[in-house]
Amino acid sequence: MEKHFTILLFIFMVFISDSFAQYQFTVRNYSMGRASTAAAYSIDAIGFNPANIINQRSIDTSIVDFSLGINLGIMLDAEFAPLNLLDQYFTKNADGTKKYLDTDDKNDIIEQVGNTPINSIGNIKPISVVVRTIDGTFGFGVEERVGGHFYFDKDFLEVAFFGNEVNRRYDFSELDFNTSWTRQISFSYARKIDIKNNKNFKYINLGASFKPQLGFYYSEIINNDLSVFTNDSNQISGSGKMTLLYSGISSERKLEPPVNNAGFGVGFDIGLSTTLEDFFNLGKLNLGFSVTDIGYINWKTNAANYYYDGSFLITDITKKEQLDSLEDVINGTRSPIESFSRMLPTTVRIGAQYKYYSNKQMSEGKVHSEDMELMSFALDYIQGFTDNYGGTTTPIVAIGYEINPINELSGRLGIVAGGREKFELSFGLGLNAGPFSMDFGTYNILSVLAPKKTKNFSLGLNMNFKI
Amino acid sequence: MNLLKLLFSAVIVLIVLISSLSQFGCDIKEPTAPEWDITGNLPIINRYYFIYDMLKNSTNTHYDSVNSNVILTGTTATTDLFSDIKSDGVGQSFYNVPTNLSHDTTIFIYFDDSTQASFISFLSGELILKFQGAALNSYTVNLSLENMRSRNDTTLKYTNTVQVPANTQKQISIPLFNWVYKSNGGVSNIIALKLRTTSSTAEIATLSSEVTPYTVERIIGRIKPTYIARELSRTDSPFGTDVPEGFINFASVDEDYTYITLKRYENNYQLDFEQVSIQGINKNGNKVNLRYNPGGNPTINDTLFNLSLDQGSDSSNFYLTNLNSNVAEFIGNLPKDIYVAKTILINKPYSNGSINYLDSFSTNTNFSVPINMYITQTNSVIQDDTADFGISDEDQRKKIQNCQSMDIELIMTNAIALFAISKIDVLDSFNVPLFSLSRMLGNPSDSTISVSRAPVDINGFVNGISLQTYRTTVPKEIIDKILRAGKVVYVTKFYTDQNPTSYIRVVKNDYARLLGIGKVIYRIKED
Repeated sequence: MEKHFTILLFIFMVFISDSFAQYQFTVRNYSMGRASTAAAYSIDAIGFNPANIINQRSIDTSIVDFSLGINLGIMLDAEFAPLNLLDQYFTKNADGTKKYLDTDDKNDIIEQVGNTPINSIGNIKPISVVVRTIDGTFGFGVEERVGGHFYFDKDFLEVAFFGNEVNRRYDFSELDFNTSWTRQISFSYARKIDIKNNKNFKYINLGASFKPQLGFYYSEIINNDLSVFTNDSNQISGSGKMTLLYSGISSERKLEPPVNNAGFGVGFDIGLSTTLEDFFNLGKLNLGFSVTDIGYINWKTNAANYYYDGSFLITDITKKEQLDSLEDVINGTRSPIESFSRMLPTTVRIGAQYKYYSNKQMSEGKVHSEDMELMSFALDYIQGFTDNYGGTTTPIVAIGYEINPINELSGRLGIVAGGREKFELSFGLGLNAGPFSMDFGTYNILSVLAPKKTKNFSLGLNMNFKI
Repeated sequence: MNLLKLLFSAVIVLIVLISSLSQFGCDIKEPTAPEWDITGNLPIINRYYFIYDMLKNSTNTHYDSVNSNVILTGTTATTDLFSDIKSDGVGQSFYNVPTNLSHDTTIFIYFDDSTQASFISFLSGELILKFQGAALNSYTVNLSLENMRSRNDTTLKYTNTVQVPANTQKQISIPLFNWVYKSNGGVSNIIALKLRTTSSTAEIATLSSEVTPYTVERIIGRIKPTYIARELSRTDSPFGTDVPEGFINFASVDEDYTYITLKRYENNYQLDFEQVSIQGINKNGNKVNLRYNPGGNPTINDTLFNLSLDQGSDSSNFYLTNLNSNVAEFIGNLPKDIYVAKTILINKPYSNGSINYLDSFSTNTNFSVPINMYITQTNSVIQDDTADFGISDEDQRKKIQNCQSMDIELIMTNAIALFAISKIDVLDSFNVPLFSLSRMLGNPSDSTISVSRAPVDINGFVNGISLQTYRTTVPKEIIDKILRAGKVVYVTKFYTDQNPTSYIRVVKNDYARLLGIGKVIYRIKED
């Protein structure tokens, strides 16, 4: 049972993950290469640019937009094809028997997984609501974020898959991970400010979000120089130490339902957007700027450093005291601390979106119309400032394209360069049925076309409702 | 809204969505943990046996025979430096000198009242010359010390010019460390001070010389008999630090191999070790002082005794016997720590020689005790111990079943000049035998494995090791028995040659070792 749980937890942590700010989740965002600072609107803008919650598609006139339940996405970023690995080695044989890993299999796994970073992101938005009033637009959203960064060094995997070789030192110092499970509650407000006497920019949207952060689990290796050596008498000696920082709703580092929170913090987003109504007489140009996730989480409940003193010597397994000392090493020593804080992954986004209308009236400033918003191009520059919570300081440039051949159907493409995934092609579709819309997409088109071959896997699905 | 358009859009989205999800559905199967084997190289057994394990545990060992072919041997060693060769120097001497000496005049200064040398280098001390001013006029002194040469260049003499005002004392202090003494030939204790004085008037002035207490770095010549400070030092234990507690009644010692050795390095003066005290303290804190009287019948007054290393000898042995010492009692106390105190007198006969403060001397003791262990193969010294091997955790017991195979290699290493046989049995927690590992390894009728004694040289000392290697593959049914294992019992017996041709020596570092290494193929799988 415990092993089942461990496997499930592992899969959960690796394949359904996180909170990375640069990877804010909406399906439309995924589909357009995450170019959303100017292009996102309504409930999709929560988390990207609070100023844009005012905006909606030109064919929409809803007062209330919301999604309930189905708004989720997963993303896995690795240098190997995780689904292929899963399918090849971590599923049953055709006859229903368990697979047995031979030497080649084990070497293949180690070669693929060893010494490569694995980042996983998972988001579920159980509820998102935007309400437009004469006093401004209000947004509310809850987002569950689970994620992690893992680095399995080859020595660790070789011990796990082959055992200990004689006269060999296994260096585990590169073994690393950090994981977190947080819940973000967003209260957003945006207001359109008219600009008088300017024929180019007639208004500016200003928005801000106040985001209480509830933390449920956090763990991080903060130092590690463990190594193990087996000499020619098979005597096994360990050296070094590892310190694991932990806070969670369970003191025993076991997963429990998130009833209470272990950490609490606050975050803020600020943003603005505006529109150049007549962009060279070809359409509209939306511009957006936002700074998101300004804040921190203070982890308090069960906060502790777990020290693992790797100094041990096993010379005779029939000596109980030696095995006991090894058990002590494995169990570690828990040293409670009052609390620790981690900054949220603050991110700056700058974006632009050019919209081309098939109906000239739209490009001339008509607000709502049945006429088509034929296509749009979006460009974002995303810069993170910390690696906390899986963020990255490597800048991201994203290009998105959306085409609406008919008002009811949207096709989306995107290119993303930089960040953790380096380069991806994204794809998605949207269905707009008036009071109901649905988006489906991925930021890596291979996730759909050949999921087993993709190294960066993502998939998102959401259903929005409009009143 | 155009219903047809909506339906058309929905169909397209659903086709893509369903085909994508079906692609997923086809591609992603239920995750299932695979199985694989790992090879664990594990230390199965690692047992050392030292001579004291036998002394402590065996009831078959006796120490009352002088005709035994087994001799327990131990040594101690301590080395000291002559770091502090001192002289008291020479007090102040006065000389009257005319203040207008046109010719070189020599004054002889004694640097020591009895030490005579051809060469001395110093570590400390000063030669102090004081010039008293004349009554009427000042005078100038040009002086040289004929026997004080530069430390760096012994052809350079010490020279100086001193202006002495009228009625004023002028002093020069010469640090001896910077200079060496060189006699003009042979040994001497005189420094020749050659001086010439100049003054406008002829008067008489007073000159004094003084040598402060000094220490010698190196001296060649005849030093006066000199004591160096009494020292108390702890020496390494003769039988190691792992000696058992208590007392053993040794009947005798091997007189050829039980002695105190005095040894010198470099220096060649006679060394007299006076008021020597050797005290042994065992693990219980019991103290025994070594008594030694070369004339025999040592008494309690002979816990302080004198030893001498003659000038012509580099070392001397002082043999300890039952007649001239209480060495059997001393060794029988099984000292863990030995404290040696002595006062060293250098050059008691006042002879010519040389010494350097870094020269050293040593005081060694060598103890040899014949022991008769009555150790035949049937009446051997038995070493046994039991390891609790019970696996109480139910999960761990189940995991043992995942063990696919186990290859064990057992290496018996013997660096004791005694034959050894071992038996390794695995019992359950109710002491019911489950299997004999030694039987599986050696497959003998008596379930034992053995190793020959270590080879010895002509003096009986071990000069090599004996090795014996056994290997076995533990079958699955035996591995499953490990689930019920509660104890591992090791019994190792040591015994001598049945027909010994020479005696052997057993020293503190002799050991025997049972080293078992295992290669375990373990199946990683979900239970």
